[in-house]
Amino acid sequence: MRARTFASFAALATGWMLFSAASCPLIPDADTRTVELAVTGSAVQGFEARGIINTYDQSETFNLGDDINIRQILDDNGVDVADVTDISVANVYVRCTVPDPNPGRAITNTHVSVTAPGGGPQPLVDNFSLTVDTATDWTEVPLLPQGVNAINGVLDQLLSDLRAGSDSNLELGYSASGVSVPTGASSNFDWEIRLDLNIVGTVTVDIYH
Amino acid sequence: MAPMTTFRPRVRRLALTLGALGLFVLPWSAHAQLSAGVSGLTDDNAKGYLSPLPKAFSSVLNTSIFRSGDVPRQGLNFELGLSLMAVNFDDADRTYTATFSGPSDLESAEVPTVIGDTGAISRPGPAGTEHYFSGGFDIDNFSVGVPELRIGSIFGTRLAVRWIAVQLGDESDDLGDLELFGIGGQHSVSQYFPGLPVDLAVGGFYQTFKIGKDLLDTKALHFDVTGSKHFGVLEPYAAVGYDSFDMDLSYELSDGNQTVDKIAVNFDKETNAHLTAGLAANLPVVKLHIEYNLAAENALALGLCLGK
Repeated sequence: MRARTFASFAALATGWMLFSAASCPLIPDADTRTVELAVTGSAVQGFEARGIINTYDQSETFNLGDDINIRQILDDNGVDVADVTDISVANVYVRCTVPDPNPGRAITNTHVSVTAPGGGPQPLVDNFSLTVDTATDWTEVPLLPQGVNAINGVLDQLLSDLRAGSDSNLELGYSASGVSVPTGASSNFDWEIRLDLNIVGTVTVDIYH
Repeated sequence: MAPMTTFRPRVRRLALTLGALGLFVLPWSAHAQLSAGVSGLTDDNAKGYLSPLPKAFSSVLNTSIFRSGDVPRQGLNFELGLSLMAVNFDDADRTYTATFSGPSDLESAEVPTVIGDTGAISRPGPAGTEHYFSGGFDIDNFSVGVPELRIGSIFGTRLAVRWIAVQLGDESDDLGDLELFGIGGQHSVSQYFPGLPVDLAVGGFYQTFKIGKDLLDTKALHFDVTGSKHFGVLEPYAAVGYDSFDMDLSYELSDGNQTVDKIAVNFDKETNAHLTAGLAANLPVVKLHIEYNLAAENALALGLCLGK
């Protein structure tokens, strides 16, 4: 190899090695990261309004352990139940799924309360209205702290049950009451309420960068 | 009506996507098993969380494409090799401004992006609720490797191609296929002006990078004017160019049994000026190059080719 060619090659190679020694980003590096993740789980409860005239008052109960599959959510996202730091209410939404054939049908002055095991009804959603003569998208509704706190208390117990390795049989009762307008005409529509939960935990991953 | 559970989103697939982005066409590297939580993220907040990625991708994909202004007028010449490109993220890329419903009004907070600090951030919402924003993966830089082929020349024009395809698993459970394809070329300008002191060429290159059927879909376009000059085996070069980059991400909400909704995150198109300064060593069989780029993110590239 000619001296001039060798010198040129040496210059380029030296530059390459200097970059390598200085933790050049071109040289892949492996690190471990413990990341705190926040994922969302949702549970939807449906209500059917059939033949109701003027006022309605409906109740449903669902089993948290069955209907909010926390274990599946955690498994899907690689989070171990022992690494979960919080499960809490994120938000509540409503929508109409099966519209009423009567134009102008709406529910007004609607209140939703929740009943935790061993407790009494606590107001969750206060005085909202929803058009139900057409199917709607999810709509955020105004919440009340009493209901939020009641659900959070149940979720704390649910998390304890999961950490203990037991399937939770905790139940949450929903009650919805309000006025269906126009009054004097029979109602025929379906609507849903969706509870979004925060599920926060840590996961350790290997990063190659 | 039976209660229904939904998941928002299928974070594991999003996480594997981010891991594949880190892996990116270096099949001998182990997968980075990343998990990215996007709880509480509206579409705008999801864009904010992932916002460093389009700029990083635009910079690395549109880098190390043309390394010489010398395109022979006629005759067989080819290069087959590998380019490694890397970007260092700015500190400003580690956070974004998230918006959310506060106790009484719409509020905002600075929270980690996907490359930011690892701790989640919580902010109070109305009526005792909490908004959580996931932590990031604390990444300072991002590197990729791409195999490529150059072949020419006819009438001072040379073709360039990049291609790799990797199967990352079944699309229903994992990501499906990863594929990068790029094609373009350079045309000699200096052939029309024999008295120019440097070799000069114009070039254009189009690339697509996809993961799965439509999990991640990117398109990159690069144009530049490259000038260079030979000093023995060394050939310094410089280029002035333009980059365009589109990135779309989509993921599904599932109840574990079926898809119940599909979320699409369509990033705004990235367009940037692109400046390059580099040095190539054209040895008899082996060609090496190193270059630095000022683009959407500043990028460093190294390459090795075998060719004539």
